[in-house]
Amino acid sequence: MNTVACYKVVADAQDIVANDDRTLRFDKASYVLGEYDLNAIEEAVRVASDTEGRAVLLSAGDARLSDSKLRKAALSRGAAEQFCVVDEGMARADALQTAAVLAAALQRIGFDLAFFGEGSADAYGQQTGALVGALLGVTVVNAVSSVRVDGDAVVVERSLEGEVEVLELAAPAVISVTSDANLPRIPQLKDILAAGKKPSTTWTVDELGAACAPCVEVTSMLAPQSVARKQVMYEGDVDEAVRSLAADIKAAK
Amino acid sequence: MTRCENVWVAAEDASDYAALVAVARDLGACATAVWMGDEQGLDAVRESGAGAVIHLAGGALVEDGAQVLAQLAAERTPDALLVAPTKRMRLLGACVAARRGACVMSDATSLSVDEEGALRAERMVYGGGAVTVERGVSAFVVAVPCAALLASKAAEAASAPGAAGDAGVPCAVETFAVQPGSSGIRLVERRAREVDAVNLSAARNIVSVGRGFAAEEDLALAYELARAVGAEVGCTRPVAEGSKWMARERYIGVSGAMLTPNLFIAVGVSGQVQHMVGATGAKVVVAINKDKGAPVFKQADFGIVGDLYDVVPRLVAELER
Amino acid sequence: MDFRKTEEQELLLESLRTVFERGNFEDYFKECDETHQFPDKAVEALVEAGFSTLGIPEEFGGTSVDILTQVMVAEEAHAQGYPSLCWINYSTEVDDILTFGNEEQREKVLAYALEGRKPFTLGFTEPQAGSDSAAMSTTATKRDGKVYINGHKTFNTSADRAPFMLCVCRSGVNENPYKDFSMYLFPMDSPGVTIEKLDKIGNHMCGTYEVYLDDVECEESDLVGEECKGFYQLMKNFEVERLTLCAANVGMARCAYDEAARYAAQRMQFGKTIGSFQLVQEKIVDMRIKIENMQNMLYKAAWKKDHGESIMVDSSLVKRYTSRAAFEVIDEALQIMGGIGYTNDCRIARLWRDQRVYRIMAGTDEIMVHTAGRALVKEAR
Repeated sequence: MNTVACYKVVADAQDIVANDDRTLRFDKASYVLGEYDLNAIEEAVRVASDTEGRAVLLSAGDARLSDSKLRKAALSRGAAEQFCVVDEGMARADALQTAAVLAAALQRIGFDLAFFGEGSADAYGQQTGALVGALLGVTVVNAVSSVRVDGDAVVVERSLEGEVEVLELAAPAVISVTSDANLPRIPQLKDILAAGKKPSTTWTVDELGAACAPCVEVTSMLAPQSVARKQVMYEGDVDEAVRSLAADIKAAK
Repeated sequence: MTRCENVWVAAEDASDYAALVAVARDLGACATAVWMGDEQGLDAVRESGAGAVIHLAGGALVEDGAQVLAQLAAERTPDALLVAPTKRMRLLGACVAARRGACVMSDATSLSVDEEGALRAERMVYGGGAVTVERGVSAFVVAVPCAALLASKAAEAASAPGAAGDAGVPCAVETFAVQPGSSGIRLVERRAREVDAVNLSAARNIVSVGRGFAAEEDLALAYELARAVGAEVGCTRPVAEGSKWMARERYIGVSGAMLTPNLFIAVGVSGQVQHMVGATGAKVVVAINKDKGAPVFKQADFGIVGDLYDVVPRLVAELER
Repeated sequence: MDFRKTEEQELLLESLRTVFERGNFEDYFKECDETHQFPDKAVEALVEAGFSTLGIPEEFGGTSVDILTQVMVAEEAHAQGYPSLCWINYSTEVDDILTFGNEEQREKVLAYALEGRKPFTLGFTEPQAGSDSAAMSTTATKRDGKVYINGHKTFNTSADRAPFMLCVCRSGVNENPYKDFSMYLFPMDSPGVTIEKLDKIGNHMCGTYEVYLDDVECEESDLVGEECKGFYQLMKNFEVERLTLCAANVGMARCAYDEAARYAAQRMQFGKTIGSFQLVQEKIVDMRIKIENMQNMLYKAAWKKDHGESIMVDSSLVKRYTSRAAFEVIDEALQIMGGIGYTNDCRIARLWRDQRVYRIMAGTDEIMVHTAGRALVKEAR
């Protein structure tokens, strides 16, 4: 089966600095592959290799997507080729706009199974895969913790809140996998070296004819209101510290 | 969207409707319940306080109803669809949204209607590192209230039953047929998941375990402390996902449980925002960590700088004196 | 001059850091240090991620890579707290055998090296032959078509785990010892081999042994390379081996520095952080200068080797400088930590014990003066 894994390049949350007025600074942030998307890539690569298919990558974003290190980082994880939709507007795109772009690109690439992660590492709306599947009018399922392909049949396990469903899907299908689905590989040097030689195609949103109107706008983004804590620290003599802390705990519980 | 008067609500569990209806009512809307379950559940949904019920019957899976629901939404033009924060409902919500040219405002910590009549949601992004305010600008929007928001609405409704308006009075039902299998998904088997029966949100006290624990068997220390305090045990994401030492139900953080306990004791937790955001609602936060510079101490009321293997047994002994 | 790492190097180091992140080995290393265990778990994780194959030629199942990158990887691992003398890459050892060994020897050594297991302990130092390697007296005597090895080797790292010994012996053919040494590769479980563990002040995760060789029977085919050329064969890669040791020096220094600097920034005394006192700032600044110097010197030497330039002098300079500077950095780090730094609970205490031997092993500080000094004076003549 031919598979596509979709991923997003995001600012590393650890590098975001909060100013005193709660505004955020991204200037020190490094940009990385979304951590949940690594599961999508791993699953797409595994399924393709088990079924003698081909796994490719797809992403949409701003110019950062063209960063050659990030491209190599993505392609060092086993996929054969990469497709990027690069457009300055993508940085502000809402989930539907992103999904429309990905859906148009997926149509152009062609696929049996398209994989998404549980959610993006920044917005974590847990919806893009579902939106894409619905826009394409194909089978779509989320919360998938394992995928098995048997001939033409795609059988997945879906981990819901209180139950596990075993589902048979009609391909083509869009599948969002959980982070339990696999342990993403750690790229080795030969994978990293090979990544630089893999083909990569870039499209614009216009080329795909996938522009659509926004449906949600972000009006503010601030650091969370910090809760004032007492920050009493007990150091030194352990017995004394433990006695003090135990008293605090007893008073609080 | 220029108003928010007609809101549809959907859940898998009939008992979630009262809270969803309450959220819709807070928006000044009259709620229509969309029910895709069985007849027994239907009775409960009819008494949830919704003004009407749309019953999608005949689907083998809830997912089969997405197309019909989107069609109905196109015809009847509700302003919004609110769905319960479960995986199945997230999928349904997104499928309906996409077909209606909308997207989903997921895990809203609060929902309101702004001056222009647009639905406004506050939600966390960057794993709790930032809070955004989003507003729907399309004619229709889907929102997922976060679990804590629904829980607080459910508690309000329970404490003041009168406020629930029409609750208890069965409302009218319209039934629509759903084509089984229309989702392209066939159910092969359904089995109960070995769910760790823990409800962290309901726990009065929490002991949270981080990667300061070197081995799985050492978690016994945390359970002992929890027993001494009368607490449930939760953990950081790496403990649940990386090491798989605990079930995912026990993972605390923006993509896990968001808590409002009385007491939150972080043991061997470094204090990354992605985890600690789950404890911002705690009354008192206690931290035990050997690294004095660990960010957790800045977010704690009381802390001990020390090796948890040394501190925890002594603390348990002291608490049990 | 381009001081940037290549994207490939950066990605490789990211992969390495992921191994450490997933492994969360810090407490494990502490436990191994306490119980004198080899850190197998961390070795397995690094091997699984392919780090043992770096530098071994592709045709032998490895991944060819320049020395600079190998040095960066070793440095980063030690900076992440990976224990000294346990590094999992044996590409230089493999190269010795690939160059001089026969088919059978190559296969044996490769299999272990690719799995990140030390293929052999080097039988070089003897009680009477430390820096004075010419004084080695272990003999290889031919008798009835066999070779019998007799002698006493010492300071053999991992003699308990390594399946083979690469033993440097006198052949008894030439008066000049350097033209009389031959190398034999034999299994450590051969009859006549006994080992005795040394009780050291540090490097507890890697055992060091005395090895007694009593009529150890070898085949003539166990000879590695040519008879009487053993010493020169050994010299082929000693410069690169030295650079790998230097990488550990830099890594350990960085590890200690990071911890101490972080501590200085948060430890409150007299109502402020100790990092706000200039006496502590001076330490941090000087430590940082040494780390920068070590890295620059080491990377440049690696770069020169990669570009076919001689590093005869450089390797001695880097070895002497990084061994001493790393010790100074770690010692100052311990000082910043105060009493805590002197407890085994603090990682810096381990680094302090472990790194000290780098000033002695693989050519002492003093021998480095001897080797580089002669050359530099000669160059000025």
